[in-house]
Amino acid sequence: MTRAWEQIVKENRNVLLERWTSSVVAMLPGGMSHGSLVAAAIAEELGVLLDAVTDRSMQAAEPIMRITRILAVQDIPPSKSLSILFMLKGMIEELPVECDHPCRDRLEELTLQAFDSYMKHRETICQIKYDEGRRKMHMALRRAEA
Amino acid sequence: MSNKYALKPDELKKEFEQKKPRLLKGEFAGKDWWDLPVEFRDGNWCFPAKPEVLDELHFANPRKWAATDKDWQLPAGWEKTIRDGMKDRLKRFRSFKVFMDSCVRCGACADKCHFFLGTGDPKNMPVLRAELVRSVYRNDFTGLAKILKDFSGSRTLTQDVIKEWHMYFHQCTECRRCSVFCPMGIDTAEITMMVRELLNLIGVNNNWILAPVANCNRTGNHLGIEPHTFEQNIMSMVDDIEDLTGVRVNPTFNRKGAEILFITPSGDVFGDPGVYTMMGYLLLFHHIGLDYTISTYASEGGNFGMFTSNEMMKKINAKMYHEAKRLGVKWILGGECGHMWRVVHQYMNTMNGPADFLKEPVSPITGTKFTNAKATKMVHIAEFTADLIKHGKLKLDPKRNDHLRTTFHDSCNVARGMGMFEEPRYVLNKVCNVFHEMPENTIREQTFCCGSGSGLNAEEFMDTRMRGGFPRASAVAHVREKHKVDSLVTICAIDRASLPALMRYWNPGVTVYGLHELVGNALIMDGEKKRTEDLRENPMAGFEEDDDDE
Repeated sequence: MTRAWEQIVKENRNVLLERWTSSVVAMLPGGMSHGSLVAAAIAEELGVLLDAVTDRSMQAAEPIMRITRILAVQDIPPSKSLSILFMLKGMIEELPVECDHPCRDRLEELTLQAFDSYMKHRETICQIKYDEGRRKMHMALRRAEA
Repeated sequence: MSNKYALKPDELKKEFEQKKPRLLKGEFAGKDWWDLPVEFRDGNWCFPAKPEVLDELHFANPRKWAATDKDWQLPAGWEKTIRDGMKDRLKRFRSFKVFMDSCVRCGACADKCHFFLGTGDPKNMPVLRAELVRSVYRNDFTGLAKILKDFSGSRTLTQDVIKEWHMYFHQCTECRRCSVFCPMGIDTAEITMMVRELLNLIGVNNNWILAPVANCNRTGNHLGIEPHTFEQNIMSMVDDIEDLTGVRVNPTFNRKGAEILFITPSGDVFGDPGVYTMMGYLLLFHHIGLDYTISTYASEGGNFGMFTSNEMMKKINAKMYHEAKRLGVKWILGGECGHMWRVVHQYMNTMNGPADFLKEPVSPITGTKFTNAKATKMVHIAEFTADLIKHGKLKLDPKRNDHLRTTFHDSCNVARGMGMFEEPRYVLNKVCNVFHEMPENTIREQTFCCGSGSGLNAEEFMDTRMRGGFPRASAVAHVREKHKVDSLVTICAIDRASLPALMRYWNPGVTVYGLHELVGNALIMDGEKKRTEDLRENPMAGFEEDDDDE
C-alpha cells in the first residue's frame, strides 16, 4: 500500500533530490562545488537512496555504503555526516504532507543502517593502518617461520 | 620605463580599495584566502622526524613535537633562516625563480590536483598552493610587489605561514599532473621540493621521509637492511621460486665483472607485495641467462632525498654510479619504481654524471642499443623486457594469468617524468589475456597519483591518503564495474605499497600487482615443474593439479 508521504515524495523527487544534494554537498569541507568528483559521486548515490526511501523493494544498503564510505574519510564529524537523512526529513516536512510515524520510522531505520556502515568504514581504515604496520614485518616473519 | 596609460601606484591602490574584489564567500566573505584557518587533526598530518633521525643526518632543530602543538619550537632566528634559504635557492635554481614569477593565475591547474579533487580544499589547488610561498616571495624579494602590498597579495612570513606550508606542501605528492595543463610550464613539484627544503632548515619535517633517508644514508636502502639481510631476503625468494617452479635461479651479489648491475627499490626485496615483483625479475634474468649482479650497498633504487633536499638527493643517488664503477659493470638496469626514475632520468646525469666509465647500454640478448639511455647508462626494466618480447626471446604463456582481469596504473614519475607509456602496456598485453584501460583522462600523461607518493605513505595520514587517492580509485571503480577488472598492475614500488590500502577501502576485491610479477607468472622456464600456482601461491585458472591439458 502506498502511503501519502511516499506518494508526495515520489511526485517531488527531483526537487527534493536537488535540495538534498545541495545540503549534503554544502556540508563537505572546503565548499566543494557540485561539479567536483566527490560531490558528483555523492549526488549519484543520493538519487538511488532517495528512491529506496520510498520503495522498500529497492536495496538501500548499497547507496548507503557508498555515501558513508566517502563521508567517513572527510574532515567532518560523524554526527554531521550521519545527519544526512535528518536533513531529508526536514525537507519532506516542508512539502504539503506530514512526515508521520511511518516516514520517521523509515528514515530512522536508514540512519541506523548508515551508522553501521559508517562504523564499518572507520573499522576498515583502522584495520588498514594496522595491516600496513604488520606488512612491514612480513619478510621478518617469513624468515622467523622458515 | 614609464607608461602614461598605467595607473600610478596610489591610484591603483585607491581603486582596489574601492572595488575590494574578493573571491571568498559565505563565512569568509570579505576576507583574504590566507585567513582560511589551518587546522591539524588526526589523519591530516604525518608524524615529524624523530630527534635521533635528525641527529644522524645532522639536520636542524632535533626535538619532540607534533603538528597539533601550539608551539612548534622553531629555532631562534627561523625567519632569517627561511629568508636566507629562499634567497640562496632563488639564485641557485632558475626554475624556482621562474616559477615564482611566471604564474598568470589562469586556473588551468586548479581542478587537476588529486588532493584538490579529493578534499575540496582550495589551498590544494596547485595555483593556490604555490601562492602560499609566492605571497611571501613577493613581500620579501620583489620591490614593486612589496610597495603594492595589498594589491599584489604579499604577506609577511609568520609562524602561521610555516604551519600552512607544512600542511599543504605535504599534501602535494610531486606528481606533476598540474604541470601538464599549465600553459606557462610551471612545475609545481619543483616548488614543493623547494619549500620542503626550506622547512627542513628549521626542523619542520616528516618522519616517513627522513627515517628512510637516514636509513639510506647509513645502509644504502630506505628500510635500513644490512648487506647480509638484504642477500638473505633475496635468497628466501629463490627458495620460494624453486618450490613453485622447480627451477633454482642463481642471483649473484657484489660480483665484480658482471655485465649489468641491477638496482631496484628495497620495497621489492622487503615489502609485500613488492617481493613478488622481485621474484618475477629473478625468473626473467634466469630465463634469458643474463650476466648481472645485485649490489648490497647500492641496494635502493628509490630516493627519498628527492623529498628532502637537492644535496641529499644527490648523495643518495651517487651510490649507483659508485657501485657500477667499483664492480666494473658495463651499464645499469633499473627495476620498477616511480620517483627513482624521475631522479635517474632528469637529475642523475647532471648531479653525479657523466658516467663515462660505463658503456652505452646494449641488450646482450637482442643487441638493441638503448640510445635513450646513452647519457645516464641506465635502462628501465619495462623497456628491457618489451625489447626481449619484441624480439621473441621470451617463452610466455599468457593463459597463466587468466585468473586476473587487469588494468594498468601509470606511475606519475615514469609517465610524466620520463614519458614511458607504451612499453609497460606492450609487456602487459603479452603476458596476460584480459586488459582494460581506465578512462583516457586518468592514464598515461594524465594519470592520477596513488595519493601517497613523495613520502606521504604514513599510516597516520590515512584519511588524507584516502581522499587524495579518490580520483584514482574512481577510475579503477569504472573499469571494475564495466569490465569486472580485479587486478591493478603498476610499475612503482610506492604504488605497490600504497594502492593495496586504497583499493581495499574504495574498491574491495581489487588486488595490486607489479608488472614483472605477471611476467614471472607467464614465463615458461626450462626444466620447470608443472605450474599450478602463481607467484603468490594462488591457483592459476585452468592449471589445476589434475589438469593434464597444459
